[in-house]
Amino acid sequence: MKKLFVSLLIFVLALGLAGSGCISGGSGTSTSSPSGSETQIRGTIHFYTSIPKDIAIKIADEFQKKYPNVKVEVYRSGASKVMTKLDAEIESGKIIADVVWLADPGNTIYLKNKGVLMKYTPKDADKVPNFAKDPDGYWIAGRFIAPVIAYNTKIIQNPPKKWTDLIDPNYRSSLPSPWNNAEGWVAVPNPLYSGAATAWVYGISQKYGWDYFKKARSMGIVVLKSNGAVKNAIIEGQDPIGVTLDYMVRQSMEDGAPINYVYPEDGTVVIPSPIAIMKTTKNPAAAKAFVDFLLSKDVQELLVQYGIIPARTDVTPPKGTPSIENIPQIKIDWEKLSSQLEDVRNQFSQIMG
Amino acid sequence: MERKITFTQAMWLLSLLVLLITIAYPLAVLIYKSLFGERGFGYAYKVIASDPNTWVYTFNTVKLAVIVTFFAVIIGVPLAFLVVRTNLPGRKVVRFLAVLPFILPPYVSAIAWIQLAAPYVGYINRIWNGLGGSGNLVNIYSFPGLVLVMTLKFYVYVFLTVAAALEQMDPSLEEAARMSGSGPFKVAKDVTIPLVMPSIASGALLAFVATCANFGIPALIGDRARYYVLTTRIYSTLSIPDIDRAIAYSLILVIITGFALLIQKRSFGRKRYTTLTGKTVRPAVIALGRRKGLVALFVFLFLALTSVIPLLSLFFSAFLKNLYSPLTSLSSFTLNNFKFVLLEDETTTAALKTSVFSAFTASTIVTLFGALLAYMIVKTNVKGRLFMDWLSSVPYALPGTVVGVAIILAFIKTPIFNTLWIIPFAYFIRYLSYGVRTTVGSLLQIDKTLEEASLMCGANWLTTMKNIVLPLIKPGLIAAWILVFMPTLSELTVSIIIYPPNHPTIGVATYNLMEEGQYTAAYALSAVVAVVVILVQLAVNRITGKMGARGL
Repeated sequence: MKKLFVSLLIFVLALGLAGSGCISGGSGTSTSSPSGSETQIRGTIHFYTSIPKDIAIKIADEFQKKYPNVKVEVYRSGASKVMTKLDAEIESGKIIADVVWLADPGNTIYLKNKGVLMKYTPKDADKVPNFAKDPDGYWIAGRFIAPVIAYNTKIIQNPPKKWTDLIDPNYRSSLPSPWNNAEGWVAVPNPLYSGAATAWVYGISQKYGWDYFKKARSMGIVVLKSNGAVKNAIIEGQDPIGVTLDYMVRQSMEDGAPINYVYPEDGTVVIPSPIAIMKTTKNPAAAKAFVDFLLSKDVQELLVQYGIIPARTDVTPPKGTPSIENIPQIKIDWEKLSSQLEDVRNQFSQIMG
Repeated sequence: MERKITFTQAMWLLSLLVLLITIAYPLAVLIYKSLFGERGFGYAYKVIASDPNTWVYTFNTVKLAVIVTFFAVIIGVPLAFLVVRTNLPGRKVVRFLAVLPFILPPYVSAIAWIQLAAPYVGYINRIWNGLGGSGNLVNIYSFPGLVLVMTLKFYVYVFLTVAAALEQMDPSLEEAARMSGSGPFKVAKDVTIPLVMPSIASGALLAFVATCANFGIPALIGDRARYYVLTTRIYSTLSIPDIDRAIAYSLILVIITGFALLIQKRSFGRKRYTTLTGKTVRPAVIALGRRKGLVALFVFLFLALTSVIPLLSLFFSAFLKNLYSPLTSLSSFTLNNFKFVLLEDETTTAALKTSVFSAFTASTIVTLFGALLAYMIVKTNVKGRLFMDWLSSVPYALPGTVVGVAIILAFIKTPIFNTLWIIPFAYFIRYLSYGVRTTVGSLLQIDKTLEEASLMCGANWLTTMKNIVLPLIKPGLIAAWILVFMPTLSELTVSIIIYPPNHPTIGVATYNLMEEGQYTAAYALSAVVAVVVILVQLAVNRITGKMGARGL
């Protein structure tokens, strides 16, 4: 019995080696296939994220191909729901999450200040601009996302150019009926559920004050749950204009949906979307390997295929995307936002209610 | 005999403990936290007093419920009269179609109406635009839309209570009036309407409470119309998270619904109308005469529009590739939505498992524990049995949203929270009264002499239970199990508040798909839920029909 087991083990190992040798020989690069050190890392890691599910699962699959002995369990939900789960885990003292990738630094800094994150500088950290990294080394951006004004190209002939157009009665009256006087001509995502929306609401409130949202409400803006919901509502024509994330629009444009977008002239919040490792991880080797992998050229290029602006400066952004420096920006203090998350959500829901 | 007493005592202690932990404790915590909240003493009440939005939500809730109740009476009373007291053709079908929207989960009804009457993409508006109309003919995301969907859901309360009253009415009263020379309208005004008035009021109050406590419809339709009510605001304040505010809104909701239920119970709940003679005489049927065809056409048209077409078009929508593709081309249709929600998507497939597991576990435990409680309430004279009876019924009388908040407050720090087990646990709390009430009903029909005879013949208590009591209440137990299984399988209101993030239920998954804008997937999942619910209901009708034949 024992003999059989040993011979089986040898057989499997040999097969693994042969396989890896064959693939790496074929592709010419040793990084894209399991090698000695990569098969040594084993176990399960729990990956909590608010990036769209299809992308998260694709990345996990790619990682498992490279590290065949590591299983990545993906938990995907809106930032608030991920945070609720994490908070409950922290509260109960049984933290399951190993790697966390949320939309905006606000929530991640909150975790850092709670003292539950691990300090880690990934392999290619120097390829990520400094403003997109935690100075203390607890998190690093894996992508950039930006709230934009998107619109249905079949309905809207003169798209808005800046945030203030969305609260300008003159602009609204230039729209075709019924949107020139109906509710729901603009849809925005809800900061109660989305981290990116929280950052956007905070940025706008910093620049224009909460009055912006009071006006928006009186002008008939509707609040939908997520950025994805806003994008779909625009495409379907339920709400012809909306605030959603740049890459989602680029993805839909690629699919041929009647949607386009502008980076508003008066600036948007360019959000470095941070990756962090939980201090409590039971499998630091796999967690670190996974974060390295997220910042690898392979994954960064994969993100570009989904229309996402990569965190690495040495990876070409999606076609037709301005470089980050050329996007007009509203700079916000992430540290400050992280201490005011509840306040921002509360203010917003008070006004929009 | 000695053994019976100790056994009963042990059961008594167990039941009391379970009830105190699962029901009394969460409610006590809810009240305690409203006084000493997370943000200091009396914060919840400060919110009520200082935030004008509180009164907007309260006013919205009451206004919606009053208007829905009004229309529920307008529709429910005549329909009940037509079904019970006239020779309207197809009365059985009418009854089924009237009850159909009611057996569907509220969120499924809301979704059915959304795909039918949403602005721009809804079928009604697409047809309108196709005929050359401009803009939107209808907009479900509006106050009238909200009233429409809720009325069609809750008029059944009025319909059923009034129909029952009409069926049980002693026809000799009307005959007497007619013999005294009154015309049909005068008979209705002087005799029939006063006699069914209490039932109308009773059904109306039930519709009122159901509207106030509903979450699915205002969440899916009201939020888009920016018509916010207490239940939807409790849910969203929990996402901020601002627990104290959620508690404040919960208390207002409890006061409104509690007040209405109290009136309902006090005035109408206990009264047995003197017209109940026990004779099974069918009340006199009024011939509709020449207008029969017209009335029938009107009734069936109404029911087709309100319960058949929304459902049919929901099934149709579930096959759409996306909402904006042309309906005329065959390539716009696909089976992928069903494949996606039933096989591919991890969230929805996990949800199916979670819901089946939770509904199965909850209904089994509720049936067993409910039977135990019922036995003590009916067959023993242990101390506090009336208190236990009352306590077990409280969570069902409360709005589900409030029960959810209480469960969060009481159990968030326990190991069960954030695990799969919290869902059947919550369902147990919410639906326990179903198990108790149903079995109490069966037990009341067993005469004590049967058990006494068994005991006198030398059988011990356990044997008596097994041979006499259990067989007699078995149909009641089965009914209780199904009564809990059905609503918990597609539950949303409590689940959305307490569900652990990696264990969504079917209701939660459907709601989230709608909220995330994955409409076609949401339609497919709702269609599946609708089919399952209708099939189970038909099966139940068969089973209960057979039980009725057996006389229990």
